[in-house]
Amino acid sequence: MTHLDEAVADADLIGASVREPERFAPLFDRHATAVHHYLARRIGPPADDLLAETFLIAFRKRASYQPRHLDVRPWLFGIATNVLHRHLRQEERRYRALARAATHDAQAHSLADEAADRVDAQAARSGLAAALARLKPGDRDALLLLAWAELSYAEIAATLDIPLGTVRSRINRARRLTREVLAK
Amino acid sequence: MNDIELLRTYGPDAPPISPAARTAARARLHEEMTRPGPSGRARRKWPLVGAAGLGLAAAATVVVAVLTAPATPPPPTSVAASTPPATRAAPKAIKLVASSGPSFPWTLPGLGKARFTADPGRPVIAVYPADDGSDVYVSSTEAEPGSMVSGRRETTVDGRPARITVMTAGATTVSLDWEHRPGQWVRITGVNRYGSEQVVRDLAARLLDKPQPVDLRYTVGLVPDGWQLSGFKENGAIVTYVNPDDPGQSLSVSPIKGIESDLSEQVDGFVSATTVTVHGNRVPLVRAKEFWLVQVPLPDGSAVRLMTTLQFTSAQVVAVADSVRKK
Repeated sequence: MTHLDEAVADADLIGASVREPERFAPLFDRHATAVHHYLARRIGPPADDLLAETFLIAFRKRASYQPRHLDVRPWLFGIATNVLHRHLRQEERRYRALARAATHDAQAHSLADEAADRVDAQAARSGLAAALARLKPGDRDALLLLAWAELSYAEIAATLDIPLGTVRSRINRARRLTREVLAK
Repeated sequence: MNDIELLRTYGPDAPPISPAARTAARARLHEEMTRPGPSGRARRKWPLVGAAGLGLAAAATVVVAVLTAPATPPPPTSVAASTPPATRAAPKAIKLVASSGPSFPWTLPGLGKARFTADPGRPVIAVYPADDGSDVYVSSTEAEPGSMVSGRRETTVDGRPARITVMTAGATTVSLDWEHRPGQWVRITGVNRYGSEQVVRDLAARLLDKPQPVDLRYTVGLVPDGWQLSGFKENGAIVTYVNPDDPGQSLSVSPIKGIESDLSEQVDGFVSATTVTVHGNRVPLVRAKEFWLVQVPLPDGSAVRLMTTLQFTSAQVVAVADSVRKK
């Protein structure tokens, strides 16, 4: 099945599931791994529970699904992003903790005279985590939907229900701040 | 490498989804998809069918009135937020009783150790995961059938009313709902290898009325009389009890990083704070417009947050906080 076929099949399943709820089940089987991956990169182990919440909410909202894009993934990632908003502090604490841990590792490796590229990788990890902790939540959503969910700008606009121009400005701002933090 | 590629390569790692977590999430979705009721969507008041009504009961083994008080008057908040529906009965006073911890009323032998999951307000589900996705779920259910699931038909089990639901979209999933005891309906669901009518009937015949403890990371030793465990997270890190007569009344325990002395800026609807003693430590007890909040320091140095609705008195909130333990 091609990507397009899958997308059409997904949209059809959501439509059919309004009358026959059980038709929703394959959506979980197809997309649970990707949604969990996105959640887990952002919040870590609580992703297990947030995955269930995301699909329960998606199921309950299925009647209002409007396929602005054929692919159902932006809709699911949008719900997952909203679920994450209830755990904003937890997400930011995770980034700060990862930044500290990566800094510590980088220093330890440097002292041990490890290969330079490994130190660079640790520094990148630390810088990225520090930058993510500092981003405004809306900017972070747009950036991570691009980087980790691999959505297009148009899909991000649909996901977050914001104009395309706002997506561009949020991502530009987020990338600029990320580069600044990495350059330090 | 640009910053987007750096994020993909060196951004925070994602722990992979475990088979058990995937199974639990799928079980919760399945329960939602097949729940009794006309729409498969609307939330209803919880059923009252005895201790097994939610498939799980807080085993209040020592029913001792500890603290009883009239219901706290409504807080000074907006009319829309505080006025109960006209049909709702006047809130009853909270009476705290000792609880020895929750247990699930049934055991299905031969399938290994069950894990438990629950969506708030919905039945607790015992999940027996299998490596190949051939999972089995057990939960309570209701006598009224849903009208929306197409692959459902009426049947009997040992002469008692039952219904079979077959779902072939995705993994083949078969559920058997039957009146296990008078007024007590149970659902067994089999997936893949267990997804056939004969197999779920065989499983139903093996079901034992043997309670099994539900391991939670935190236990609450005092809970309101008649309240039931609901919606705990997968490993019991967040524990919620609700009043089955009014699910708007609840208490919840969740981990926090540490104790903070001033919460006035952090708590939505902050009204006032007083200092109380919990586990021998002085901590603020916050009254907000819609809830009580107290931080509970635990002997191992960790801490949890206890939140309750305003039907509790301040003394009851402190008593519940003092009864919280970490396993």
